Amino acid sequence: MNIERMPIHVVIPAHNEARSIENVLLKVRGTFPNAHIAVVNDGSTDDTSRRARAANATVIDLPFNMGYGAALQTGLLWAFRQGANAVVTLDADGQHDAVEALKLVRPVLAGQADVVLGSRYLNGVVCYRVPWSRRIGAWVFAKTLSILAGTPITDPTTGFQCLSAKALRAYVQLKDFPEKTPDADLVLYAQRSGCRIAEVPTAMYEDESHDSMHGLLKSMFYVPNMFVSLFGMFLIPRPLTRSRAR
Amino acid sequence: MIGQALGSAGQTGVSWGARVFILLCGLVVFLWVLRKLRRRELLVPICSMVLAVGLALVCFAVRPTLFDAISYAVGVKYPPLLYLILIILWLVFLVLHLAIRLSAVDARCRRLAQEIALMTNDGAVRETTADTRQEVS
Repeated sequence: MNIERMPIHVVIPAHNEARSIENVLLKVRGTFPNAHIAVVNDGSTDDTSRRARAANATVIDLPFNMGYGAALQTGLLWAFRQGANAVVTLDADGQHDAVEALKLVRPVLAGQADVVLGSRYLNGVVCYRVPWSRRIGAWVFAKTLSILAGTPITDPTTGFQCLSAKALRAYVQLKDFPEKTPDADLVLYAQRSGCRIAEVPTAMYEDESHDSMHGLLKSMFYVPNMFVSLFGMFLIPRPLTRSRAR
Repeated sequence: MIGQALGSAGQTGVSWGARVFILLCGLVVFLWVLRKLRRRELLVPICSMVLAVGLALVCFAVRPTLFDAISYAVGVKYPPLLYLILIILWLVFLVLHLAIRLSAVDARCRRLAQEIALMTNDGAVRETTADTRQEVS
């Protein structure tokens, strides 16, 4: 199976990523020449939309800034309506290497998993210095998620994922899709929707914009919110009934 | 005569001036909400809640001892405590009601914006396809 030639869907949420978007799209196009690529422009005030269009990507312009989660959901909605079999989500800041996406796509197309997470902590392939506070936070969420989901997860905050059609349908149907930070809670939701979760080690780089959504101040809201969201997802009956997942 | 019917300041523990002031406040709240309701500027459930406050203020101004009687009837020896609890409950209920509405409106607004973005993209794709076809033909 020649994965590179498969017409997979790629969703890239972007907010003020004019500096990096062209490089990211170039890499994605180089890795998956037949891919359908959508850049969800989350109310950027810079040139992101124009540059993405110039790079021959489908650009979905949200009317105003709605947050990473809403942008991601819009992209997933687009892929779902296109009848996607496999959707890769990656960040527009250059943190994820499109070549590494091949590792994510392979298990999904082989029918071995429904959600494949690219982990920077599995086998230690972090190519930049992750702050200790963030490492500790990720570790706590990883352990919590692993216990709740009953499957070992090392990197619950990764935005580098590949979803099968089943996982895509489950995510699109989720009414209260996490608006700002769809992380560990979404993985738990997928698991409780009957999706099989897998992790593969991937290399990750420092984002070119240096504007992480997990800043100190945001973390103060993020951490309690994530725990509440995880708990909320845990309350969902498992597996989801067929009518709800449809 | 009216004074007898309403009870004196000594009997109720509330001076005449205070009662008139509370009565006016209640009437103002009542009329303001009715005006908003007539103009459809305030949601009906919110109107109901604020009207209840106006009504309570008017009732208190007319018969302050009524609230004390209710308080003793439910077993609260110190009536102001009951007022405080009722006000806190009312505020919590109002906040909860607004939070639920806000969540629903937020979700709808988000979905609407997403659909607009997707439809705009669909329209742009159709236009491009039609242009390409015209050029080819």
